[in-house]
Amino acid sequence: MTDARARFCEQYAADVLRWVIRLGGPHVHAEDVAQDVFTVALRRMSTFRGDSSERTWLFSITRNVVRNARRRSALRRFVGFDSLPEPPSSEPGPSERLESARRRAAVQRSLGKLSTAHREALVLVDMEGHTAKEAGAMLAVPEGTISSRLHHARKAFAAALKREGIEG
Amino acid sequence: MSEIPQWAREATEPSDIEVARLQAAVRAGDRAAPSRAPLWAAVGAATALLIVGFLLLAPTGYGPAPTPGSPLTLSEQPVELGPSIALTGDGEATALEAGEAGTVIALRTGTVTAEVDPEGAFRAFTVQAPGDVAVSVVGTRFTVSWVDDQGSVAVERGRVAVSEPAGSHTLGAGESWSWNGGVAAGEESLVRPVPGAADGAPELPSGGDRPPVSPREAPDAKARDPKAPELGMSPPEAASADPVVAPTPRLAPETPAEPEAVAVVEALTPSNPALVKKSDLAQASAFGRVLDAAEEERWADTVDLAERFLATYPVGSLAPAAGWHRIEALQHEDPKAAVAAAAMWLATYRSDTRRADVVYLHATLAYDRLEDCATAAPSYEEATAITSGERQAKSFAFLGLCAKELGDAALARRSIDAAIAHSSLPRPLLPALKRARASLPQEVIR
Repeated sequence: MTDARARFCEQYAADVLRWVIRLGGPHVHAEDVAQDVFTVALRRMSTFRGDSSERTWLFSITRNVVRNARRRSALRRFVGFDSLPEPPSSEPGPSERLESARRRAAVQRSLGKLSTAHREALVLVDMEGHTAKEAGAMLAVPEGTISSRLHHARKAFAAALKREGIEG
Repeated sequence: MSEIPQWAREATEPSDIEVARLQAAVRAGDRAAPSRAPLWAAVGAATALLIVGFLLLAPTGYGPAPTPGSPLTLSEQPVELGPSIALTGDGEATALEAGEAGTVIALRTGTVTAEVDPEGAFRAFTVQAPGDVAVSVVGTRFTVSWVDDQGSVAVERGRVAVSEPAGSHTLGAGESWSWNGGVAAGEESLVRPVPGAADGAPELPSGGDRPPVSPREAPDAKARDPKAPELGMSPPEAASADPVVAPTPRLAPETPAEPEAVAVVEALTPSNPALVKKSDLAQASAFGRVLDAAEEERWADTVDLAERFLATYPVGSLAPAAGWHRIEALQHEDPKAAVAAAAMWLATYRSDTRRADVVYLHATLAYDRLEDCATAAPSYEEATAITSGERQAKSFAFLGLCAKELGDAALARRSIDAAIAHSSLPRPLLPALKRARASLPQEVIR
């Protein structure tokens, strides 16, 4: 791996992993999918023209890879190859880790209840801290559309968290 | 509306260990990357050669076919029906249909073992058996027998989704299912290994007996949390009316290989026998469009496609699954319609293995989206009996809260106590439950 590519991976590993965790849901293996994202990104590196920031470009790759991973995962679950992940309560370990895993799974399940469009808007603005304008640019939709999606997404997410037994 | 809570953001932040693992994996993966292009090129070339070879060698017709209605004597000597189906066994059958549109035989007595080439031409194949059971095959190796009023299906290769009047189950390689008395419903099922099935045959993963859509908790009373207190409520009709025990697949220790094919055992409606003659592939394709729309979260399309599917294939193994997708899509489009659709689903498929999923969804939609405790409570009550784990605990909890709202203090007390005592109750629910419990009037002890 060249120094530039190594630096690229070092720089964005946490971002990509976080995006995958938030967009992918509890059924996709985040580290595997994040690795796929980098495989695609490094292969397409030469085609990056600088029309957007490197981070935006990488996010768009992540969106596509995650979407495919979710589809594959759903199909595998449909035909019965994959079962639901084991609940964290069955894992050994310190209680903090259990609680953390439980919370992450609950958030992922709640995000998973949203449509892709709503989930992406919520993740970019409320979780990643982008403005509606920035999120609109990243998702190639008008700023107003992001605001509308956010409104519905927040409501649905809060309801989903409540169903998880967690008050938002 | 405020932003989402800080803890939710923190919970989805990757840990340093996860990031480090990913960085190491990417570095390791990149070293192997240069070999990928030639590998894929080779695979592509080989695939192209195979396709060309297949096209050159593929049979152009069905070949000799028995006249419809003619008897078939099954023996160790294979009877070939078309280029992809070979039958052996010990019994008597009748060829009902044999040709490029599909092959259908009726097993009168004895045993038929079907070897169907999963990649072959004209492989659509159905065995009708007594007891309104039909075995439709896309490609696998399996045996159907009907001897002394006892029927059984045994799968040697591939996977089988069994849908019969009492519900649906999934069988993997090495498993079997039986029925008797001419009616598949209400009979004890039998699971036994099939001799010779372990020779490289794919197996089901853990949990493979789950329904094909959104497999979650099985509606098996034995799966209830043993620590959960009994409420003493009458068991719901669906739970008691489902004596068929879903076959328990053997657990595969590792991720299983892809099966070579899928077989579908499908219950028939005697009044509509033409359904079995419809192309399984057409049905699968129509269902695939429902699934695609659902996966792409095109909810309006999902509703539309599922409704069209149900109008065309109102019975069969995929109808409950299509109905489930319809409900799932409707909850995004129109929660009130979703509640109605779920109620209709529950009334139609009383013993389907997805019942636990649907009854819980019906309850939570009514409770969360419509704030309708009167509708939600009966479903939560049923869910307490047919779900397990966290979902069962939450069913007790929400049933208790609904009962309190509806003014049924006794039911509220029992349900909330059951929820609090449940080992799988999510801790964040505890304070609200304790507050609700404390606000209930004290039980009068006579």
